[in-house]
Amino acid sequence: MRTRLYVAAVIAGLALLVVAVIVVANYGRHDPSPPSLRDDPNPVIPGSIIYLNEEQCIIRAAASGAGSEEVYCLSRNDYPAEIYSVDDTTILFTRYDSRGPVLFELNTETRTIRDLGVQPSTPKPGAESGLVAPSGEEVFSEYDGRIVLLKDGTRTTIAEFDTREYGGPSPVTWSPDGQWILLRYWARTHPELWIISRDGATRGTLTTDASGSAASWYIDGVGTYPPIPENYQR
Amino acid sequence: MPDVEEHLERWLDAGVIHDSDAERIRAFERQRPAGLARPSGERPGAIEALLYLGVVVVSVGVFALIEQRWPDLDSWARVMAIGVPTLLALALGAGLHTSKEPGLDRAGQLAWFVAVALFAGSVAVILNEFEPAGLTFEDDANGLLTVMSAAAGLALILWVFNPAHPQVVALGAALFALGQAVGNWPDEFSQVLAGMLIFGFGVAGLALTEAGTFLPRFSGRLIFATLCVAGPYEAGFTENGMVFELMVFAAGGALIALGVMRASFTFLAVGVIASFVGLVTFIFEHFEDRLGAPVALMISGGALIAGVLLLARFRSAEQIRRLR
Repeated sequence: MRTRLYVAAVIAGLALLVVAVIVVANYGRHDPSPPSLRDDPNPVIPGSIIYLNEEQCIIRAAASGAGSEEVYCLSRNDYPAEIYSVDDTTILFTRYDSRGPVLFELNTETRTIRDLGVQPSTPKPGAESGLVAPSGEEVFSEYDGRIVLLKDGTRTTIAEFDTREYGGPSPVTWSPDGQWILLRYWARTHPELWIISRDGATRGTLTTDASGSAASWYIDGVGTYPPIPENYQR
Repeated sequence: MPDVEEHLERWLDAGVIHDSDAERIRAFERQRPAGLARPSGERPGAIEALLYLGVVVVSVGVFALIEQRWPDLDSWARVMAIGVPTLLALALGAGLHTSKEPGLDRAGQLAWFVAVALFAGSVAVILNEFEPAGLTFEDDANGLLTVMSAAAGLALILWVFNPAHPQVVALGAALFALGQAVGNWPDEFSQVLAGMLIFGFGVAGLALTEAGTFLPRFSGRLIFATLCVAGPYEAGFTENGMVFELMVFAAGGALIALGVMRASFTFLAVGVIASFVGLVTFIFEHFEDRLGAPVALMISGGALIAGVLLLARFRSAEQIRRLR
């Protein structure tokens, strides 16, 4: 028995040593997330952003990170691909049923949902080729974690993140004033939303419990981005 | 006969018997009638077979329950569904281990073998349902590492209490799975990390087996030799995996040499099979474009025939001894 305990100690010791070294050294792990805006709000970032969290609840957060509120929780079966902030009390979102993607209107004061019976007419800007800003320039993410702007045929890298290959952040939307970009990053166990400035100099993590890629940015007096579908009527 | 040869080899090395004694034992074993293979207690009986059947039926029941009713179960029911069979398998193995009947003891070994797999499942379910210390099993490398570490720990403990073939196989499987869990820890799965840890387990286990401290020797040799070649083989599936592909040949060659030195057919077989699999993989990985699939297949087939002939030629330890 004593010999067997010695053997067990050798094998267990080897395993523990390797696991401890790898975990302590954080081997092969990347942590590219910018500083949390919740912990350290940045008042320079304007407006508010609505997004879905992991519980399928619509969250309205100050883009500066100064605060957030739960607006409404959707059904677990709803996976809205698009969401639009119309004003302080009205949110549009798409819901898939037998008719395809259909627009629904949510009144956040009365907490009522209205079936608009129409499909959103305006596709998400640049959804296939990169995200197009209100000013016309496009933003792309590269496989190696770089964020690239394309303007007049010129590509400019505005930010580089230390991420795994093909696992870097991807653009979700521009801010309505075209000065900020909302990114989604799929961390190991949870999706995050990041905000970077148009020149890449200012960065922050808005939330670490986002879900899907539906989000909308609203700035009072400037408007909403992505644009509200043209066939939407109150 | 190979078992006898392994024993003789060990006794000769230890100076317990002399060459003349070994020859007399060999002569005696050669004359023994073929039907008189094992004492009656070594032969599986009806009770033992029924115990095997019972363990298998319970295991199938657990997996069928998981397959069919899992979404309908509450968290506590899920833990009970897999936790109770785990405890029963552990208790059954412990109870049968104390029996003096060899057949019941073997059934207990099988129960403990199954218990290792059930225990891994139990830990995974507990992590998933209750997330202790923020650990989960799905999408969490820490959770997988915890599960596989726990399974390897239990397999090791069970081997300490009963060093039998099923416990060695369970330990080998658990160490292999732990290697995969460690490889899964970085953001991108690292075949090199997984493979080299498995190789490390194999080398350590082989050293302990050959030092005579890890028993039984047959399954120890088989399992740890397999880990020694499986590790580099897995590590070879990377972008610049040539060095690990060559390492498979080196490990295979070392096992063949060790097989000759220690008169072990087990080492020889694992070494030849590893070299064959490594060669076929190497040919298809690097030369298929130049040679074409038919030629690559012909070379692989030739290597297979050579390997089988080599194993057939030296299938007994006595024949391997003559190589020295």
